[in-house]
Amino acid sequence: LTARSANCPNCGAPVTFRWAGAVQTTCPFCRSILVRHDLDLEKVGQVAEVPPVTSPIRIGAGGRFRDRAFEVVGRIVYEYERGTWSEWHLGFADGGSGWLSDAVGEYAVSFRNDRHGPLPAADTLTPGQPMNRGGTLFQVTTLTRAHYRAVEGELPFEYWNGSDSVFVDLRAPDARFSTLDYSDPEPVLYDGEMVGWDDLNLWGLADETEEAPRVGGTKGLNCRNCGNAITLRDPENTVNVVCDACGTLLDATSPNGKVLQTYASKVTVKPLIAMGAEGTLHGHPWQVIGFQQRTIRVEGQSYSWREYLLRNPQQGYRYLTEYDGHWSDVAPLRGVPKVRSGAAEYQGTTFKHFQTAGAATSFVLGEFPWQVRVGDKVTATDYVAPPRMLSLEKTDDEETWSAGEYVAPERVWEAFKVPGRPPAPRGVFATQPNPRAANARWFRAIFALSAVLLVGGCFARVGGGTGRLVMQDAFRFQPGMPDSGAVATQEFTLDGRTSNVEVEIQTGLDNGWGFFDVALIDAEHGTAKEVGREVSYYHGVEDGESWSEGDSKESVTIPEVPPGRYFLRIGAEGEAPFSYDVRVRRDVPDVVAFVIALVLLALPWLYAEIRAYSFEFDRWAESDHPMRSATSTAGEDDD
Amino acid sequence: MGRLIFAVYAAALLGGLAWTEYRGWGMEPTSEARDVPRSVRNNPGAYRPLYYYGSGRYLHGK
Repeated sequence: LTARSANCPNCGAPVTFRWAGAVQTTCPFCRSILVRHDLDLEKVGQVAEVPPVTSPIRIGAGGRFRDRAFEVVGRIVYEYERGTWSEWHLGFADGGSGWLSDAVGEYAVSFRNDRHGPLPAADTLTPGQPMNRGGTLFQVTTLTRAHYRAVEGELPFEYWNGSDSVFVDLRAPDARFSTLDYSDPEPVLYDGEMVGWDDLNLWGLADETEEAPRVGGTKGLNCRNCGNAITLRDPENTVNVVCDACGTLLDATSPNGKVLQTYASKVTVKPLIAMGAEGTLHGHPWQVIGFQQRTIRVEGQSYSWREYLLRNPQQGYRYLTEYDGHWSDVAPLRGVPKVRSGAAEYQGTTFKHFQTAGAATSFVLGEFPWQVRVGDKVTATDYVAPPRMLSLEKTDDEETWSAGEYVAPERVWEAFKVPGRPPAPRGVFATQPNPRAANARWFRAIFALSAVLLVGGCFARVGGGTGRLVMQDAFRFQPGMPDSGAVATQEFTLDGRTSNVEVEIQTGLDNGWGFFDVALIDAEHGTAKEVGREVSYYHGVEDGESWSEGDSKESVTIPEVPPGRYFLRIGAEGEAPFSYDVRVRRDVPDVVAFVIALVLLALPWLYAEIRAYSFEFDRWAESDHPMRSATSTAGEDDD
Repeated sequence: MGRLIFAVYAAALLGGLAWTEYRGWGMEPTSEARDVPRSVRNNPGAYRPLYYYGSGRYLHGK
């Protein structure tokens, strides 16, 4: 068959092929499954029911991916234990064929790859297992046992049946994506990448008001337990719905709302944002359709957080999570972070391991596009790089990564027009931005700049010399000399500006002491600045060890001495005779003043650093890696 | 606000230190005496400084 159209061998209706390479198609009128042969079409089966429409994508829609135009020409609906997903068959304008995976708001484009080495058996793979492919480290994220639920449109192969097959999804850090399809005896590899809705540049989509066909054929149902009428907000995707009157969990895919779980607990959690509330995040409208509380137990203590499931028909699903008044905006991750030695790396950012704990669903409300039960358990691992967080939820057959970002409660209230004020956050949350860190950084920068100036100034002063020597004289003291053995030095001139004067006394004391009263006398004006200094120097050997105490030299700095003619009057005391030299220096640098200034500068900076550290201490107190010591002062009083 | 205060504080500290160094200020306690007789130059023993130690205790004045 070379023509682009033919008649259905079952009902005679015209069947037109959109993609030249199609092997199988479905009659749009009688829903016969038709296989394309050289000369005719052969009916090989019948689509039992209308496939579910899980997104605005429709057969006939067009798009552009990586500068390649495509048309949506067919679809396979797979069903597995948690729900369904669609594989849209893309016919590219250049004759190529690809697949757009459409799984509850997550999209991936992939292409069949027949040029590969041996592929592993499905039973050798487990979630989280690394797999090196062409130098790229992929990770097994999902093992899914699924079967064809329905097909429509054109497909590149002719075989299909309803038996279970295994599909293994792999993801790389850069959002590359692969699927190992074990439907056939020989596994088939599909390579591609996780994409966002906007990456597909789709057009010709279903109208929002279009009545989408549904597996169960209903957009609302009555609770089998209490009779309450339940209207589905996301009827195309919802798998589970909880009766908001009695809490019974219903199967939204069954025509009469089969009861999956009755709500026996007396614990009721009231969502802070009402089910059905609409708001805008990241420039897109979102509706709250589901709510669940999850609880972990650590050292006998229960900690619960609440998750609000948000839906946008094109963008898919994301969450708002709340814990003790702290909110996070969470979305599924396209790539898989590299996990190594207590950290996860993703897109150039290192996230530190925060906590790993078993989490159980403790309350459910609203709708979910996947199976949810009270008591569902996952192993949850969080990695943080405030204000962002990476979370890994692990079950026996799946690993799911998501990325969250701390969001101010007021921002949530504003986005969803929630009346009143949000509850005040308590404590410090894992991803809460440290309000003191910026302050500490500023203080650090100011201190560093000041310290550089200070040390530079100190070196400049000291490097300029230890003052100008203006006078040097030598004397000898004899005990019993009259008038304290007082002497007067020669006159000397102090020039320049008002500055200090250092008087250095170098004695010949050896195991003795002397006391000097020094008067710097202005020879012209008759004023004096007087200071006293004791000089003592003792040394010896005791128990075979030498010791010494004091120094035979002492100096004293006289501050603020105006220029003029001066001399020193020195009175000495002592028990034994000694000689001494006197040196006078002008404008001597005061290193101690620099040190004191440095300490005074450091104190506010250190205070800011300690405050910032105490916030981090509180952050990590609830993690698996609490800090060992610090003074905790963080609280709600931060600016 | 705290950053501005600290910046002003640091600037004041550096400025104060520069002025201290320029003027030769220091923390050494000194006693000031006026009207010191010119004869001290020739007869230093006749002058009794504030830190006189001859009697084993500090005296004040001449």
